[in-house]
Amino acid sequence: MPRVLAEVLGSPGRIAGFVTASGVVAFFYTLLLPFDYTQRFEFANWNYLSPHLLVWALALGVAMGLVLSIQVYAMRQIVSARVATGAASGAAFIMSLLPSFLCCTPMVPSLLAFVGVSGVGLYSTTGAVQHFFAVHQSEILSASLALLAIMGWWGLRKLTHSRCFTGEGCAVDTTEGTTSASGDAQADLQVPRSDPPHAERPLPKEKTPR
Amino acid sequence: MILTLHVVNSASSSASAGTTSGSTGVSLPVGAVAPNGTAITLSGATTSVASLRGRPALIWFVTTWCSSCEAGTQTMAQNIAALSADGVRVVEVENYADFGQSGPTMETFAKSLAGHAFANPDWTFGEASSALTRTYNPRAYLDIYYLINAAGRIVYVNGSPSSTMPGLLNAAKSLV
Repeated sequence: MPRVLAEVLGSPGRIAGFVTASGVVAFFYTLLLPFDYTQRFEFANWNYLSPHLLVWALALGVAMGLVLSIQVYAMRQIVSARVATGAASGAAFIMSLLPSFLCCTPMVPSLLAFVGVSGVGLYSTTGAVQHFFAVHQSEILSASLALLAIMGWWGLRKLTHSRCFTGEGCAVDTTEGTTSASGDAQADLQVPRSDPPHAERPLPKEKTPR
Repeated sequence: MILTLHVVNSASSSASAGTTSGSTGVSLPVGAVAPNGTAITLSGATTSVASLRGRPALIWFVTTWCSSCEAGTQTMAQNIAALSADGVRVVEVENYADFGQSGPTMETFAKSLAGHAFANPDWTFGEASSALTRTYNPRAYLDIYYLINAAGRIVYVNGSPSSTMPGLLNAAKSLV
């Protein structure tokens, strides 16, 4: 698996992509995590960015950047890996947003009112829901980070076990020159083809009119 | 969330323009006469919205376990003198029973976050009655405030003073 990780970040371009993605996501989180204090998504939120929240922003940024890098790499390697990691890391991302966007915002009472909760029920339900996210923010962020870590590990695992990466060569349909792995994977790893590409086949001779 | 904030903020925009907005359904409308209701101050006295008439007043509903309420109280402590200079007195009240969730008492909340400003005579802390909370905060927002003029009419509605203080100060200045 370390070998795969080295491959995922194995070029200056890929490292730049990872650093950029991590930076952008971490920047986003530095504004998002103090959202509870201001109810606004603005630079003034940095006034409430404690060291604790900064660490969370960096951790989530690096984790998300790594998962995105793995996903991009996996998308180019294995189509099935793209589907699996994309959905779950998206869930982790959304889950990490919940504490900030549900605590102290009008979102919860508005949603509850929309679904028909009213009167005493609205008061108690709003309080219960928002209180839960307010007091369990760290646990929810931890779960999000754990989910990102699992997705990163899962993506790396799939890449490790992919035949393309192990050097055994990608499965090749010898009948038409198409492969079961993505074309990019072939290009990246320069796996020798067992059959010349269709485009390289010699053109049939033109029939000359008699 | 954004949509709802727009609704609340649209009321404040109307207040700045000096116009009356219609009922939004999420808060009392700007221009309406502030309904009466009672709260118990930290000293144990009963105060009412009606008793605030004759001077501009800010009635602010908070929840003691709410982050924006904590930050807003700290911001209020830094700006209470400016509001006081404009003749505004602030009544910060806990939403009835903290919406049924456990949190610090209003006294602990106020003393720890207001600091020296806790003793400002123009800043009163208390606990809103159930009726007052339901009247002014029908959607159970954790943090919402109303600026009421001397005649008892609502002139500005918003929340989270930590980020809306400039607008509140402008609205207060317009009352002078």
